[in-house]
Amino acid sequence: MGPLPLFRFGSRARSTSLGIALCTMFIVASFSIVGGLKASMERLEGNFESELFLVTRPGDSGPTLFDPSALISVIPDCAYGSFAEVMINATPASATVFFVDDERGHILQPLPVLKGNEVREPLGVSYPGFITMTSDASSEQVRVTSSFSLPQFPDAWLLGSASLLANLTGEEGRANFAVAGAISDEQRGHLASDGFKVQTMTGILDFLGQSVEQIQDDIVLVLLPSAFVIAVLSYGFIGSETADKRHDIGILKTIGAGRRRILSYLLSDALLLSLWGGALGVAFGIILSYALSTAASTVFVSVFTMKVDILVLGLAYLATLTAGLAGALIPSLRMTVSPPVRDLREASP
Amino acid sequence: MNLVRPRVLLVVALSVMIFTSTATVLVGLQKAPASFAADSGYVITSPGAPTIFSSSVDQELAAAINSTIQAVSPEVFAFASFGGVPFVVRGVDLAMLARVGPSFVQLERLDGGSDLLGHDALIGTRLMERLEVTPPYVMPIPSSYTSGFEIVRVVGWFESESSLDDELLVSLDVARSLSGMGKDKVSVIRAGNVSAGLTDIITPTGPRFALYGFSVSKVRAVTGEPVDFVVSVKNWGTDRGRVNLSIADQSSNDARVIARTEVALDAGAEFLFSHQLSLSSEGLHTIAASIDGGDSDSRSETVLVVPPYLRVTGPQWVVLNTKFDLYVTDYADRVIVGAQVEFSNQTALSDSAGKVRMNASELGRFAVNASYPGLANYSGNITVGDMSTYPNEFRPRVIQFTVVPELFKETETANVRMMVENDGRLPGDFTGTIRLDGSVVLVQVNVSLGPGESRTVLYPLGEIDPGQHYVALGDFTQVFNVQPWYMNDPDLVLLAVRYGGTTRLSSADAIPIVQAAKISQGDVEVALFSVGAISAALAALSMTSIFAKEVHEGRSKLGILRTIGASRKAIRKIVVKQSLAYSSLGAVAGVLLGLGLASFALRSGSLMMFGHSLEFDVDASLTPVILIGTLIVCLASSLASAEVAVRATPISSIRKTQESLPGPRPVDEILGDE
Repeated sequence: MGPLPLFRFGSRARSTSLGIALCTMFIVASFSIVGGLKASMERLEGNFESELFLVTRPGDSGPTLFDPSALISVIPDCAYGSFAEVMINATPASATVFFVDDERGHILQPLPVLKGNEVREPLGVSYPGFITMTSDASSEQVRVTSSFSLPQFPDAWLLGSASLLANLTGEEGRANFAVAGAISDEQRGHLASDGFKVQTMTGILDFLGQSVEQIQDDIVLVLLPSAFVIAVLSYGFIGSETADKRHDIGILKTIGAGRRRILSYLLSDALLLSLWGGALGVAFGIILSYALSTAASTVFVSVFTMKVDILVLGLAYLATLTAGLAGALIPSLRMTVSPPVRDLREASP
Repeated sequence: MNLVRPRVLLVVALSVMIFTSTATVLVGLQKAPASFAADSGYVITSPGAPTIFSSSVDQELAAAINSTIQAVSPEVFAFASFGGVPFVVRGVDLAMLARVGPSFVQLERLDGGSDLLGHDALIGTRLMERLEVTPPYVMPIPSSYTSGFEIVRVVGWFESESSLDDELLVSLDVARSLSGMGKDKVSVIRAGNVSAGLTDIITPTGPRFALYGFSVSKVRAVTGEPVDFVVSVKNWGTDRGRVNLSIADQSSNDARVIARTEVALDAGAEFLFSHQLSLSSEGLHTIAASIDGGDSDSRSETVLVVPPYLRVTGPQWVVLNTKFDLYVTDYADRVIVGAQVEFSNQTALSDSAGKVRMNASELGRFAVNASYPGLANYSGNITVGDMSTYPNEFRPRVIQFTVVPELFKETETANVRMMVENDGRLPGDFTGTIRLDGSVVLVQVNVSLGPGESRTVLYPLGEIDPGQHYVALGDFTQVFNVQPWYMNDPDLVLLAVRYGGTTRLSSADAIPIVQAAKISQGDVEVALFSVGAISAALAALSMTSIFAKEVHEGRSKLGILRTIGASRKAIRKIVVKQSLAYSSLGAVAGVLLGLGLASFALRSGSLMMFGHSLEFDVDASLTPVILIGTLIVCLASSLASAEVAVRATPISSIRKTQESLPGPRPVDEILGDE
């Protein structure tokens, strides 16, 4: 038995499919706007470069000390080190002193090898030859020997030796930061599970990327109203059509059509309508997206273009079909379970 | 008779709810840009900047506005992320922020401080929740545009009930370091409100003129001596215009217009006017420069005119029983021949070189007096000392090291004045290095000194940037200040000349967040309007569909009514009544539910836009539009369906068939077995 020609593709079906198309178009256009926003962000991100990532393991009050081997097992090529805030000469004046071990990664520019209580001051900062650094863990007499420059680190930080930092932090062989050249998603996953946080050392990249992700998450909400309206349209269509064709359906039941068959007839009609409306909507959505983009670019000085994505189109189409079937389900089920005698009596011509 | 069943109420309410919540979120979205301006007020940005990222304004402008017009807050933006949460880092001066607002509803600082010092930071309550951190907290913040980072110490939290609650506040310097902003530059200058004066300065219209930089070459001159006057006029407006410039002597005994000229200037152009004159009458002269027209303005300087006078130069300290020379000149350093000079009971006339030789025959301090017909007398002192008490060596000693004047403008000249004395009996050369600001070698000093001799030498400072500087020679250090050229001009003139029309003033609503995304504001407005319009269309569509279905399903009832004699008008009345009842109820319920849903979504902080939560803000005009629109849509759709139904013959309505359609189809046709 072929498809049951219960319903005709009359004005009701046309208007319903157009309505469904409008909803699908709305979904496609909304997603395209976000796609365009993301594309704009990606272009903007292209203006900046970041090859470095900062890795820390935050605790209750900030970065905590960790065993570098735990990090190296995930990112073998990284530079790691520690920093400590110290008081200078037991005055309220404070400074930050750090050391970094870049022997594995060779990520940073070559640094002088410092020993014992020797420190180097940053360019433009002038300390007397000997100073006393006091941290929570110890107090150290250090000798300021020369200056250094390392653009990735804060301008005012002093460079110390590993042993000095071990004394100042009170823990030997530990680190509280690392700098990595490249981190894969898999490595990120491992680091996250070990309690590490990874930050792109060019902040704008994370800021823009994560902002667009937030908007992408929000825009999924567009599916809800559109799907609701598609469901209502489908409900209205199947409801009206079954009311009109109740007699015919009653005859089908009388001659032996089972409930599942009736349900499948009705739902396949709803699916057909949704398929047609969805396809139309996807086409309208693409046209609307580019029309909006073109219109906006004509009127305004703009670098913003809508971007239609195959995945987005697929999602919009799937949402349309699902909502169309869901909306048709209630009147279809109602018609399926009603007794044939009642169908024939209520809709007697 | 129920033509429209209560189930439509659910669909209407849900449709209206969806549209209301969508529209409310869109309103929030449209106002999202204001978060960069702390939700309200105005901001000054650089007009050429294509995005808010690249806006860069002189911080000095903020100081000038603060001192003359109104309170403003200079702020620097940096953009960061921590643990996958993007947020804005705002560099502020807390005192200035407090004057502009928003004020803190709650502020808790663990350090007890009142300002943001060093790497201190304050965190907004909403950001604190999103980041899940509790002060005190040490946080690494990556640099915005280059590879690098800073460590900030979160020393407290605040709540301001504004978009600041989504941000991290740091000092201006830390934000500059993070964003790479230049020294003394800020991203924006924020104003809580905008006064007419500020608008006038920032967004001038037509030609606008300012008079500035009025100066005289001498503050003390002798009668008939030439004095130079310099003044500048700038058109800081947007169009070419003309203005009359005049210089006048306003002294009571010699009031007159000295010079007058008409100046035509293009927008942004400047005109420098200089004039030389001789003042003939003695006394204090007030010389005023003024412009007339729309921006009438005047500046004045004073010149004291004195009679011509004598000047005598020579050593201030001489050795007992030696001869020394004095030189006599007039006020303009012209040699005076035949001037009478008196020193310690000696009297002599100056020779053809203006020189007078005197003998230091007695120990002590003696007066030096000089006189010449037609010139005011000179009076000074010279000390005669005993060299035998001095050691037999060269003992140079700097006894004075100053900058004269200590305060001067960048356009003026100043000198380092050094007085060096030999306290020994042997001659020698004193050498040293005068450094500027610790590193720049200003001059290598080499002064030859005889036994007991003291010499004063002057070294010109040259062109130095405005600000505080110091010069050093050995253990001597002298601090001095170089004022910018506009220092003596009123601040408003400074504002007009330096910044008039050079920046852009925008209301908070107009700052395009979209600029942050490098998208034009128009794009987003088109996009938001489109989304809103389509959303309204969808809501209308669902309501139309459900009412059409309801009326369609009630066709048999309508047919019965028609059969028993009901007129079309009566049927319309029934349909209108029922549609109105359900659509009104549904619309009200939908609006309330929609506002509630939007409020929940927005206040939950789940809807974010570039590091800021979207604000819940109901457009007052929106609610009646939604209600009326809903009623119209519901009525129109139900009436249209009813109209179609009542046009059919009563019997076909009762049979639920359409006249245009054929009668019942055969079973085999239904089964598709034709």
